[in-house]
Amino acid sequence: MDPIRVGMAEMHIGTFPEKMITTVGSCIALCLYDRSNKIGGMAHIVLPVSRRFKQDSQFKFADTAVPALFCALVSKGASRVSIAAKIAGGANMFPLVNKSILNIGEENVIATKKSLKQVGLKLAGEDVKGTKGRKIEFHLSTGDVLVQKLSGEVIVL
Amino acid sequence: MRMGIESDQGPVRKEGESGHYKGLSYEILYELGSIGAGNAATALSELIHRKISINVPNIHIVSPLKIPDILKFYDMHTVVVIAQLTSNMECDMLLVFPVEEAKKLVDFMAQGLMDGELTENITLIEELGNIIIGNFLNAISDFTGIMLQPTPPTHVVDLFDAILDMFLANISLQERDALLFDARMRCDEEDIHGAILMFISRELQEKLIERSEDWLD
Repeated sequence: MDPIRVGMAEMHIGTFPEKMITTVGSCIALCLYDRSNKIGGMAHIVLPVSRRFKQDSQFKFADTAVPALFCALVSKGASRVSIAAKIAGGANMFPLVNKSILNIGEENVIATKKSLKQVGLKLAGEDVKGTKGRKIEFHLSTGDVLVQKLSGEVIVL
Repeated sequence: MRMGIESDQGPVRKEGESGHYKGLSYEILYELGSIGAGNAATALSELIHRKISINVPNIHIVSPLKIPDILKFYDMHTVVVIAQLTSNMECDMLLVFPVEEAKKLVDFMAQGLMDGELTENITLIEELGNIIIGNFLNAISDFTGIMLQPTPPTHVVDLFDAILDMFLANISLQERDALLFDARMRCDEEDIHGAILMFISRELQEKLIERSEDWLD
């Protein structure tokens, strides 16, 4: 089965044995997984807050993506109490370029964690910040999130 | 490894074809791209004392969020040279090469250079970016009559999607159209593929449209 690629501001929900993939720099790959039902969802969050951009996809922003993905997962049969979250991304790769994007990675991490707390979701794993992009694989058979960096280093969340 | 531009992703025009997209004339963009590429090739050939040619056979005008789908550089390790404008007018430019292509290019350039011809703190790839981006901007500058001076370039080596998403986190870039030129370089018998991305501001886009209409009348 080919893996499902989750693009910027997109989300996908799937079940065992699917695999989802994405690549993030300053963005956040948000992975929610219900271990008991082997159902999970991924959102590719681009920015921290949605105010000003109401017309955009709710999965683009940390403050709207977390509750939206959680509700979508529950509506597909996931058990509210079994869902745990894992996040990866939030890098700052251009310290010398446009100052207006300097802290987006860090802001994305802060906003995602804040939103997870508000929804009452447990953060089961994270690999965030730094200066390098990350290639993410979300395995719905196990709930494992594999994070690979340019150096080849692989972390399993 | 898939490289280059897919023809089934949104509006794309090949060299010699005319037409418009959101008021932008492909004919004019090809002309400007060809002038920029030609002048950049001449400057590079002079710098490295070896013949190099650059062509821009395809062009896309596309939403920046669709760039990964078009280039198919997913998860590919890339070298991206970035420059912005020093003036109030905005046009962010990215020169993109898969790492393997960039290595071929840098090797080729290094063979033609004599010791001490470049200062040590300027990498060859940034110098290449400086020349290509500078000449593209010069072509647009001459056409629109607006002075467009690039900042010194900087470069990043990482996964292409990760670099792009970091760049597009700047919301204003997402709201612009991206001009995507498929760049084909030839150094001796070696073909090198890359892409030139331009995120032009609405103001500059309108100026280009206005001048194109005058020119095509």
